[in-house]
Amino acid sequence: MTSPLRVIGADRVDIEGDQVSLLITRCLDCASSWFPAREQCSRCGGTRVDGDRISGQGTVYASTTVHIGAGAFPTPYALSYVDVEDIRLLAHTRSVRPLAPGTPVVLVLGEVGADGTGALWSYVAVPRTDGEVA
Amino acid sequence: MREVHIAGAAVHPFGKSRGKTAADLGYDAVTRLLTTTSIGPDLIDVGYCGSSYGGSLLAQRVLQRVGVSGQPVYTVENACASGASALHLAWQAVASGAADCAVAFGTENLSGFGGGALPLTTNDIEIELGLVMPAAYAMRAQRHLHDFGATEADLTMVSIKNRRNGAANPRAHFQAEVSADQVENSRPVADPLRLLHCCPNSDGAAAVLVCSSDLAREIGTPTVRIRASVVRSGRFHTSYRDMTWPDITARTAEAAYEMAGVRPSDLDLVELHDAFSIAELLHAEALGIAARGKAHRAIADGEFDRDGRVAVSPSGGLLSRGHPVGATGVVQVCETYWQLTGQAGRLQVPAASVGLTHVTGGGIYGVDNGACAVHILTSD
Repeated sequence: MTSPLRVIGADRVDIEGDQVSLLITRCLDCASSWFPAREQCSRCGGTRVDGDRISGQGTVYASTTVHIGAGAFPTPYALSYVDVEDIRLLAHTRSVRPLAPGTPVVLVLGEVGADGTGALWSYVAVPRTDGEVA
Repeated sequence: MREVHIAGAAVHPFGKSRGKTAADLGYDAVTRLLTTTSIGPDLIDVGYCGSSYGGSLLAQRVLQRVGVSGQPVYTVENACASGASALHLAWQAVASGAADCAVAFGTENLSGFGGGALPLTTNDIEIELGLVMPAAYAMRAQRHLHDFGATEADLTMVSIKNRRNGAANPRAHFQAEVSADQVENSRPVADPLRLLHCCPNSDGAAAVLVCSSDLAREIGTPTVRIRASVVRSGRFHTSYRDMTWPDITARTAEAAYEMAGVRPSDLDLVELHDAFSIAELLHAEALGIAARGKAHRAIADGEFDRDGRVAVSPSGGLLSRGHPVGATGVVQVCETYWQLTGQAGRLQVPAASVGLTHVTGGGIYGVDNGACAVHILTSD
Protein backbone atom coordinates (compact mmCIF):
# COMPACT_ATOMS: atom_id res chain seq x y z
CA MET A 1 0.00 0.00 0.00
CA THR A 2 1.31 3.43 -0.82
CA SER A 3 0.74 5.64 2.15
CA PRO A 4 0.52 9.40 2.15
CA LEU A 5 1.20 9.34 5.89
CA ARG A 6 4.45 10.70 7.27
CA VAL A 7 5.82 7.73 9.19
CA ILE A 8 8.86 8.00 11.47
CA GLY A 9 11.04 5.01 10.69
CA ALA A 10 9.09 4.07 7.53
CA ASP A 11 12.27 2.81 5.88
CA ARG A 12 12.92 0.21 8.58
CA VAL A 13 9.56 -1.55 8.60
CA ASP A 14 6.98 -3.06 6.23
CA ILE A 15 3.46 -1.76 6.68
CA GLU A 16 0.40 -3.64 5.42
CA GLY A 17 -2.86 -2.05 6.51
CA ASP A 18 -2.10 -1.16 10.09
CA GLN A 19 0.16 -4.20 10.67
CA VAL A 20 3.89 -3.59 11.02
CA SER A 21 6.70 -6.07 10.45
CA LEU A 22 10.37 -5.33 11.05
CA LEU A 23 13.07 -5.39 8.38
CA ILE A 24 16.14 -6.86 10.07
CA THR A 25 19.59 -8.13 9.16
CA ARG A 26 21.05 -11.49 10.15
CA CYS A 27 24.81 -12.05 10.05
CA LEU A 28 25.70 -15.30 8.25
CA ASP A 29 29.00 -15.53 10.13
CA CYS A 30 28.16 -14.82 13.80
CA ALA A 31 24.34 -15.07 13.72
CA SER A 32 23.81 -11.60 15.23
CA SER A 33 20.52 -9.90 14.40
CA TRP A 34 20.22 -6.18 13.74
CA PHE A 35 17.45 -3.62 13.57
CA PRO A 36 17.38 -1.38 11.63
CA ALA A 37 18.81 -3.43 8.76
CA ARG A 38 22.47 -2.80 7.99
CA GLU A 39 25.05 -3.71 5.38
CA GLN A 40 27.71 -4.87 7.81
CA CYS A 41 27.52 -6.88 11.01
CA SER A 42 28.56 -4.54 13.82
CA ARG A 43 29.60 -7.45 16.05
CA CYS A 44 32.06 -9.37 13.87
CA GLY A 45 32.49 -6.79 11.11
CA GLY A 46 31.47 -9.31 8.46
CA THR A 47 29.62 -8.30 5.30
CA ARG A 48 27.98 -11.71 4.65
CA VAL A 49 24.53 -10.69 5.84
CA ASP A 50 20.94 -11.49 4.85
CA GLY A 51 17.84 -9.39 5.12
CA ASP A 52 14.82 -10.83 6.92
CA ARG A 53 11.31 -9.72 7.85
CA ILE A 54 9.81 -10.59 11.23
CA SER A 55 6.31 -10.10 12.57
CA GLY A 56 5.64 -7.24 14.94
CA GLN A 57 4.56 -9.48 17.82
CA GLY A 58 6.67 -9.05 20.92
CA THR A 59 6.85 -8.55 24.67
CA VAL A 60 7.33 -5.37 26.68
CA TYR A 61 10.67 -5.23 28.50
CA ALA A 62 10.08 -1.87 30.22
CA SER A 63 7.95 1.25 29.81
CA THR A 64 7.56 4.81 30.99
CA THR A 65 5.17 7.68 30.62
CA VAL A 66 7.08 10.80 29.62
CA HIS A 67 5.83 14.07 31.11
CA ILE A 68 8.74 16.29 30.11
CA GLY A 69 9.73 15.21 26.65
CA ALA A 70 11.20 16.41 23.42
CA GLY A 71 10.38 16.87 19.79
CA ALA A 72 6.98 16.74 18.21
CA PHE A 73 5.26 14.55 20.80
CA PRO A 74 2.54 16.05 22.99
CA THR A 75 3.00 15.06 26.64
CA PRO A 76 2.22 12.83 28.32
CA TYR A 77 3.30 10.06 25.94
CA ALA A 78 4.39 6.52 26.71
CA LEU A 79 7.40 4.63 25.41
CA SER A 80 8.29 0.96 25.70
CA TYR A 81 11.26 -1.20 24.96
CA VAL A 82 9.81 -4.21 23.16
CA ASP A 83 11.51 -7.56 22.48
CA VAL A 84 10.52 -9.00 19.11
CA GLU A 85 12.25 -12.38 18.69
CA ASP A 86 15.88 -11.45 19.48
CA ILE A 87 15.46 -7.77 18.57
CA ARG A 88 15.01 -5.02 21.18
CA LEU A 89 13.45 -1.79 19.91
CA LEU A 90 11.89 1.37 21.27
CA ALA A 91 8.31 2.20 20.34
CA HIS A 92 5.51 4.49 21.39
CA THR A 93 2.57 2.78 23.03
CA ARG A 94 -1.06 3.63 22.37
CA SER A 95 -1.94 3.75 26.05
CA VAL A 96 -0.55 6.70 28.00
CA ARG A 97 -0.14 4.49 31.08
CA PRO A 98 3.16 2.59 31.15
CA LEU A 99 2.75 -1.06 30.10
CA ALA A 100 4.01 -3.60 32.63
CA PRO A 101 7.10 -5.70 31.88
CA GLY A 102 6.04 -8.93 30.22
CA THR A 103 2.95 -7.50 28.51
CA PRO A 104 2.43 -9.19 25.10
CA VAL A 105 2.16 -6.53 22.39
CA VAL A 106 1.88 -6.17 18.66
CA LEU A 107 3.29 -3.30 16.62
CA VAL A 108 0.73 -1.41 14.60
CA LEU A 109 0.74 1.83 12.67
CA GLY A 110 -0.38 4.70 14.89
CA GLU A 111 -0.30 8.47 15.20
CA VAL A 112 2.40 9.59 17.65
CA GLY A 113 2.68 13.35 17.32
CA ALA A 114 2.60 16.35 15.04
CA ASP A 115 4.85 19.09 13.76
CA GLY A 116 4.19 22.25 11.77
CA THR A 117 3.44 20.19 8.66
CA GLY A 118 0.92 17.89 10.28
CA ALA A 119 0.51 14.49 11.93
CA LEU A 120 3.42 12.10 12.46
CA TRP A 121 2.93 8.34 12.53
CA SER A 122 5.11 5.43 13.54
CA TYR A 123 5.00 1.87 14.79
CA VAL A 124 3.14 1.72 18.09
CA ALA A 125 3.00 -1.11 20.65
CA VAL A 126 -0.52 -2.26 21.55
CA PRO A 127 -1.36 -5.04 24.04
CA ARG A 128 -2.55 -8.29 22.39
CA THR A 129 -4.17 -11.53 23.40
CA ASP A 130 -3.39 -14.59 21.29
CA GLY A 131 -2.06 -12.47 18.48
CA GLU A 132 -5.11 -10.23 18.30
CA VAL A 133 -5.07 -6.57 19.20
CA ALA A 134 -6.73 -6.25 22.60
CA MET B 1 54.28 2.94 33.40
CA ARG B 2 55.23 5.63 35.89
CA GLU B 3 53.37 6.50 39.05
CA VAL B 4 50.95 9.37 38.49
CA HIS B 5 49.74 11.83 41.12
CA ILE B 6 47.21 14.58 41.49
CA ALA B 7 48.85 17.61 43.09
CA GLY B 8 46.00 20.08 43.13
CA ALA B 9 42.29 20.56 42.50
CA ALA B 10 40.03 23.55 41.91
CA VAL B 11 36.36 24.10 41.14
CA HIS B 12 34.17 26.92 39.91
CA PRO B 13 31.09 26.33 42.08
CA PHE B 14 28.26 24.53 40.29
CA GLY B 15 24.90 26.17 39.78
CA LYS B 16 23.48 28.75 37.43
CA SER B 17 26.06 31.13 35.95
CA ARG B 18 24.08 32.61 33.10
CA GLY B 19 26.50 35.44 32.43
CA LYS B 20 29.53 33.18 31.99
CA THR B 21 30.47 31.04 29.00
CA ALA B 22 32.03 27.59 29.31
CA ALA B 23 35.38 29.29 28.57
CA ASP B 24 34.84 31.79 31.42
CA LEU B 25 34.01 29.00 33.87
CA GLY B 26 36.98 26.90 32.76
CA TYR B 27 39.28 29.92 33.04
CA ASP B 28 38.10 30.47 36.60
CA ALA B 29 38.79 26.84 37.62
CA VAL B 30 42.21 26.69 35.93
CA THR B 31 43.24 30.03 37.44
CA ARG B 32 42.28 28.78 40.89
CA LEU B 33 44.29 25.59 40.22
CA LEU B 34 47.46 27.47 39.27
CA THR B 35 47.05 29.77 42.28
CA THR B 36 46.50 26.95 44.77
CA THR B 37 49.48 24.96 43.44
CA SER B 38 51.67 28.07 42.97
CA ILE B 39 52.91 26.93 39.58
CA GLY B 40 53.39 28.90 36.41
CA PRO B 41 52.01 28.05 32.98
CA ASP B 42 55.42 27.05 31.56
CA LEU B 43 55.51 24.02 33.86
CA ILE B 44 52.49 22.52 32.08
CA ASP B 45 53.50 20.18 29.25
CA VAL B 46 50.03 19.36 27.94
CA GLY B 47 46.38 20.25 28.57
CA TYR B 48 43.10 18.39 28.16
CA CYS B 49 39.63 19.91 28.33
CA GLY B 50 36.44 17.86 28.64
CA SER B 51 33.23 19.43 27.38
CA SER B 52 30.15 18.29 25.50
CA TYR B 53 28.57 21.58 24.50
CA GLY B 54 31.43 24.09 24.78
CA GLY B 55 32.39 24.17 21.12
CA SER B 56 35.55 24.01 19.07
CA LEU B 57 38.99 24.71 20.55
CA LEU B 58 37.68 25.21 24.07
CA ALA B 59 40.99 23.99 25.54
CA GLN B 60 42.84 26.77 23.71
CA ARG B 61 40.25 29.40 24.61
CA VAL B 62 40.74 28.64 28.30
CA LEU B 63 44.40 27.74 28.60
CA GLN B 64 45.84 30.52 26.47
CA ARG B 65 44.30 33.05 28.88
CA VAL B 66 46.47 31.73 31.71
CA GLY B 67 49.63 31.54 29.57
CA VAL B 68 49.49 27.88 28.52
CA SER B 69 50.04 28.75 24.91
CA GLY B 70 52.09 26.84 22.38
CA GLN B 71 51.93 23.52 24.21
CA PRO B 72 49.75 20.69 22.86
CA VAL B 73 46.18 21.01 24.13
CA TYR B 74 43.07 19.01 23.29
CA THR B 75 39.30 19.31 23.69
CA VAL B 76 37.71 15.95 24.44
CA GLU B 77 34.05 15.04 23.90
CA ASN B 78 32.64 11.86 25.44
CA ALA B 79 29.22 13.02 26.72
CA CYS B 80 29.00 12.71 30.53
CA ALA B 81 32.42 11.06 30.56
CA SER B 82 34.11 14.00 28.76
CA GLY B 83 35.91 15.38 31.83
CA ALA B 84 36.99 11.96 33.07
CA SER B 85 38.21 11.15 29.55
CA ALA B 86 40.31 14.33 29.60
CA LEU B 87 41.79 13.19 32.92
CA HIS B 88 42.43 9.71 31.50
CA LEU B 89 44.44 11.23 28.64
CA ALA B 90 46.41 13.37 31.11
CA TRP B 91 47.11 10.23 33.13
CA GLN B 92 48.29 8.43 29.96
CA ALA B 93 50.63 11.31 29.09
CA VAL B 94 52.28 11.33 32.52
CA ALA B 95 52.27 7.54 33.02
CA SER B 96 54.00 7.02 29.66
CA GLY B 97 56.66 9.64 30.36
CA ALA B 98 55.55 11.82 27.46
CA ALA B 99 54.77 14.59 29.97
CA ASP B 100 55.73 15.43 33.55
CA CYS B 101 52.86 17.81 34.19
CA ALA B 102 49.39 17.96 32.67
CA VAL B 103 46.30 19.96 33.42
CA ALA B 104 42.93 18.26 32.99
CA PHE B 105 39.74 20.24 33.32
CA GLY B 106 36.07 20.05 32.44
CA THR B 107 33.72 22.95 31.85
CA GLU B 108 30.15 23.44 30.72
CA ASN B 109 27.45 26.04 30.57
CA LEU B 110 24.01 24.47 30.25
CA SER B 111 21.96 27.55 31.21
CA GLY B 112 21.83 28.46 27.56
CA PHE B 113 19.56 25.47 26.90
CA GLY B 114 16.88 26.65 29.33
CA GLY B 115 14.95 24.01 31.28
CA GLY B 116 13.87 20.49 30.47
CA ALA B 117 15.81 17.50 29.24
CA LEU B 118 19.14 18.13 27.53
CA PRO B 119 19.23 17.88 23.75
CA LEU B 120 20.68 14.57 22.61
CA THR B 121 22.46 13.76 19.41
CA THR B 122 20.40 13.66 16.22
CA ASN B 123 20.03 10.91 13.59
CA ASP B 124 19.28 8.31 16.24
CA ILE B 125 16.31 5.96 15.89
CA GLU B 126 15.30 6.29 19.54
CA ILE B 127 15.78 10.03 19.89
CA GLU B 128 13.67 10.67 16.79
CA LEU B 129 10.85 8.82 18.58
CA GLY B 130 11.06 11.13 21.59
CA LEU B 131 13.48 9.32 23.90
CA VAL B 132 15.09 11.63 26.44
CA MET B 133 17.61 10.62 29.12
CA PRO B 134 15.05 10.72 31.97
CA ALA B 135 12.85 8.31 29.97
CA ALA B 136 15.75 5.92 29.37
CA TYR B 137 16.53 5.80 33.10
CA ALA B 138 12.82 5.63 33.94
CA MET B 139 12.48 2.41 31.97
CA ARG B 140 15.53 0.97 33.73
CA ALA B 141 13.86 1.99 36.99
CA GLN B 142 10.55 0.33 36.13
CA ARG B 143 12.33 -2.91 35.26
CA HIS B 144 14.62 -2.84 38.32
CA LEU B 145 11.65 -2.27 40.62
CA HIS B 146 9.79 -5.06 38.82
CA ASP B 147 12.68 -7.54 39.04
CA PHE B 148 14.07 -6.85 42.52
CA GLY B 149 11.20 -5.55 44.63
CA ALA B 150 12.52 -2.07 45.27
CA THR B 151 9.89 0.66 45.42
CA GLU B 152 9.54 4.30 44.46
CA ALA B 153 10.24 5.08 48.11
CA ASP B 154 13.68 3.48 47.65
CA LEU B 155 14.37 5.83 44.75
CA THR B 156 13.35 8.72 46.96
CA MET B 157 15.81 7.63 49.67
CA VAL B 158 18.68 8.10 47.19
CA SER B 159 17.60 11.69 46.58
CA ILE B 160 17.23 12.36 50.31
CA LYS B 161 20.71 10.97 51.11
CA ASN B 162 22.52 12.81 48.33
CA ARG B 163 20.72 16.09 48.95
CA ARG B 164 21.65 15.75 52.64
CA ASN B 165 25.30 15.21 51.66
CA GLY B 166 25.28 18.14 49.27
CA ALA B 167 23.69 20.48 51.81
CA ALA B 168 27.17 20.76 53.37
CA ASN B 169 29.00 21.31 50.06
CA PRO B 170 29.69 24.96 49.19
CA ARG B 171 30.35 23.92 45.57
CA ALA B 172 26.97 22.20 45.11
CA HIS B 173 24.16 23.51 42.93
CA PHE B 174 21.57 22.54 45.58
CA GLN B 175 22.66 23.08 49.19
CA ALA B 176 19.43 22.17 50.94
CA GLU B 177 18.06 18.90 52.23
CA VAL B 178 14.78 17.56 50.87
CA SER B 179 12.05 15.54 52.59
CA ALA B 180 10.32 12.44 51.25
CA ASP B 181 7.18 14.54 50.81
CA GLN B 182 9.01 17.10 48.70
CA VAL B 183 10.46 14.40 46.45
CA GLU B 184 7.22 12.46 46.10
CA ASN B 185 5.23 15.60 45.36
CA SER B 186 7.67 17.08 42.86
CA ARG B 187 6.40 17.11 39.29
CA PRO B 188 6.50 13.87 37.32
CA VAL B 189 9.23 13.74 34.65
CA ALA B 190 9.11 10.16 33.33
CA ASP B 191 7.30 7.59 35.49
CA PRO B 192 8.40 6.53 38.06
CA LEU B 193 10.94 9.41 38.14
CA ARG B 194 9.95 12.80 39.50
CA LEU B 195 11.85 16.06 39.28
CA LEU B 196 13.73 15.49 42.54
CA HIS B 197 14.83 12.06 41.30
CA CYS B 198 16.72 13.88 38.51
CA CYS B 199 19.95 15.88 38.63
CA PRO B 200 19.78 19.53 37.62
CA ASN B 201 21.35 20.92 34.45
CA SER B 202 24.14 23.06 35.87
CA ASP B 203 26.96 25.36 34.89
CA GLY B 204 30.40 24.82 36.37
CA ALA B 205 34.01 23.82 35.89
CA ALA B 206 36.67 21.76 37.64
CA ALA B 207 40.41 21.29 37.13
CA VAL B 208 43.16 19.02 38.44
CA LEU B 209 46.95 19.03 38.15
CA VAL B 210 48.37 15.65 37.09
CA CYS B 211 52.08 15.04 37.52
CA SER B 212 54.97 12.63 37.98
CA SER B 213 56.37 11.66 41.40
CA ASP B 214 59.43 13.88 41.03
CA LEU B 215 57.40 16.91 40.04
CA ALA B 216 54.82 16.27 42.77
CA ARG B 217 57.63 16.38 45.36
CA GLU B 218 58.96 19.60 43.84
CA ILE B 219 55.56 21.30 43.90
CA GLY B 220 55.10 20.24 47.50
CA THR B 221 51.30 20.34 47.69
CA PRO B 222 49.29 17.44 49.19
CA THR B 223 49.02 14.63 46.64
CA VAL B 224 46.97 11.54 45.91
CA ARG B 225 48.00 8.71 43.61
CA ILE B 226 45.99 7.61 40.58
CA ARG B 227 45.96 3.83 40.94
CA ALA B 228 43.63 3.20 38.03
CA SER B 229 42.32 5.21 35.09
CA VAL B 230 40.02 3.33 32.72
CA VAL B 231 37.66 4.43 29.93
CA ARG B 232 35.37 2.06 28.02
CA SER B 233 32.78 2.54 25.28
CA GLY B 234 29.40 0.86 25.16
CA ARG B 235 29.07 -2.51 23.43
CA PHE B 236 26.78 -1.96 20.46
CA HIS B 237 24.04 -4.43 19.64
CA THR B 238 20.28 -4.31 18.99
CA SER B 239 19.31 -7.56 20.74
CA TYR B 240 18.06 -8.37 24.23
CA ARG B 241 19.79 -6.31 26.92
CA ASP B 242 19.46 -6.56 30.70
CA MET B 243 18.85 -2.91 31.49
CA THR B 244 19.10 -3.52 35.25
CA TRP B 245 22.78 -4.42 34.83
CA PRO B 246 24.87 -1.61 33.28
CA ASP B 247 27.46 -3.79 31.59
CA ILE B 248 29.56 -0.76 30.64
CA THR B 249 30.03 0.16 34.32
CA ALA B 250 30.79 -3.44 35.29
CA ARG B 251 33.45 -3.81 32.56
CA THR B 252 35.08 -0.46 33.31
CA ALA B 253 35.14 -1.08 37.05
CA GLU B 254 36.51 -4.59 36.69
CA ALA B 255 39.43 -3.30 34.63
CA ALA B 256 40.03 -0.49 37.16
CA TYR B 257 40.02 -2.84 40.17
CA GLU B 258 42.53 -5.06 38.39
CA MET B 259 44.79 -2.15 37.46
CA ALA B 260 44.70 -0.77 41.01
CA GLY B 261 44.94 -4.08 42.85
CA VAL B 262 41.93 -2.91 44.86
CA ARG B 263 38.69 -4.72 45.72
CA PRO B 264 35.28 -3.08 46.10
CA SER B 265 35.46 -3.84 49.84
CA ASP B 266 38.63 -1.69 50.11
CA LEU B 267 36.80 1.50 49.08
CA ASP B 268 36.14 4.20 51.67
CA LEU B 269 34.18 6.37 49.27
CA VAL B 270 32.68 6.36 45.80
CA GLU B 271 31.61 9.38 43.74
CA LEU B 272 28.96 7.75 41.53
CA HIS B 273 27.13 8.95 38.42
CA ASP B 274 23.69 9.44 40.00
CA ALA B 275 22.20 11.45 37.14
CA PHE B 276 18.90 9.92 38.28
CA SER B 277 18.18 8.26 41.62
CA ILE B 278 17.77 4.83 39.98
CA ALA B 279 21.32 5.19 38.66
CA GLU B 280 22.76 4.85 42.16
CA LEU B 281 21.09 1.46 42.57
CA LEU B 282 22.13 0.19 39.14
CA HIS B 283 25.72 1.40 39.27
CA ALA B 284 26.36 0.55 42.93
CA GLU B 285 25.55 -3.05 42.05
CA ALA B 286 27.67 -2.99 38.88
CA LEU B 287 30.57 -1.42 40.81
CA GLY B 288 30.36 -4.32 43.29
CA ILE B 289 29.64 -2.24 46.41
CA ALA B 290 26.18 -3.83 46.79
CA ALA B 291 24.92 -7.30 45.94
CA ARG B 292 22.77 -7.71 42.84
CA GLY B 293 19.28 -6.35 43.48
CA LYS B 294 20.22 -5.25 47.01
CA ALA B 295 21.51 -1.67 46.61
CA HIS B 296 18.20 -0.27 47.87
CA ARG B 297 18.65 -2.31 51.06
CA ALA B 298 22.17 -0.92 51.53
CA ILE B 299 20.83 2.62 51.23
CA ALA B 300 17.93 1.97 53.59
CA ASP B 301 20.38 0.55 56.15
CA GLY B 302 22.65 3.60 55.96
CA GLU B 303 25.56 1.67 54.44
CA PHE B 304 26.14 4.40 51.82
CA ASP B 305 25.98 7.30 54.29
CA ARG B 306 29.04 9.47 54.88
CA ASP B 307 29.84 7.44 58.03
CA GLY B 308 28.56 4.15 56.58
CA ARG B 309 30.28 1.06 55.18
CA VAL B 310 31.24 2.94 51.99
CA ALA B 311 30.30 6.59 51.54
CA VAL B 312 28.53 6.99 48.20
CA SER B 313 28.65 10.51 46.77
CA PRO B 314 29.57 12.25 50.06
CA SER B 315 29.83 15.50 48.04
CA GLY B 316 26.15 15.26 47.13
CA GLY B 317 26.45 13.49 43.81
CA LEU B 318 24.95 14.79 40.61
CA LEU B 319 21.54 14.98 42.31
CA SER B 320 22.78 17.73 44.60
CA ARG B 321 26.05 19.04 43.18
CA GLY B 322 24.54 19.31 39.72
CA HIS B 323 25.67 18.07 36.34
CA PRO B 324 27.56 20.40 34.03
CA VAL B 325 28.11 17.45 31.72
CA GLY B 326 31.79 17.77 30.83
CA ALA B 327 32.83 19.00 34.29
CA THR B 328 31.33 16.17 36.32
CA GLY B 329 34.09 13.60 35.83
CA VAL B 330 36.71 16.11 36.99
CA VAL B 331 34.80 17.52 39.97
CA GLN B 332 34.34 13.99 41.30
CA VAL B 333 38.13 13.65 41.31
CA CYS B 334 38.53 17.07 42.96
CA GLU B 335 36.13 16.05 45.73
CA THR B 336 37.96 12.74 46.18
CA TYR B 337 41.34 14.54 46.23
CA TRP B 338 40.10 16.70 49.12
CA GLN B 339 38.73 13.63 50.91
CA LEU B 340 41.97 11.65 50.63
CA THR B 341 44.14 14.61 51.67
CA GLY B 342 41.93 15.39 54.67
CA GLN B 343 40.78 18.73 53.26
CA ALA B 344 37.08 17.94 52.78
CA GLY B 345 35.89 19.92 55.79
CA ARG B 346 32.24 19.22 56.65
CA LEU B 347 32.14 16.63 53.86
CA GLN B 348 35.04 14.62 55.30
CA VAL B 349 34.64 10.83 55.30
CA PRO B 350 36.44 9.60 58.43
CA ALA B 351 39.91 8.13 57.69
CA ALA B 352 39.32 8.03 53.93
CA SER B 353 42.28 6.52 52.07
CA VAL B 354 40.81 4.78 48.98
CA GLY B 355 38.26 6.39 46.66
CA LEU B 356 36.63 5.56 43.33
CA THR B 357 35.02 7.95 40.83
CA HIS B 358 32.54 6.81 38.19
CA VAL B 359 30.86 8.58 35.29
CA THR B 360 28.89 7.06 32.46
CA GLY B 361 26.74 8.66 29.85
CA GLY B 362 25.71 9.38 26.38
CA GLY B 363 22.29 8.41 25.08
CA ILE B 364 22.59 6.66 21.73
CA TYR B 365 20.66 3.56 20.74
CA GLY B 366 22.16 0.10 20.94
CA VAL B 367 24.46 0.65 23.96
CA ASP B 368 24.10 0.98 27.74
CA ASN B 369 25.85 4.32 27.46
CA GLY B 370 28.31 5.82 25.01
CA ALA B 371 31.26 6.08 27.39
CA CYS B 372 32.16 5.23 30.97
CA ALA B 373 35.20 6.16 33.06
CA VAL B 374 36.41 4.90 36.43
CA HIS B 375 39.33 6.28 38.44
CA ILE B 376 40.68 4.80 41.66
CA LEU B 377 42.70 7.13 43.89
CA THR B 378 44.62 6.44 47.08
CA SER B 379 46.13 8.71 49.70
CA ASP B 380 49.66 7.39 49.08
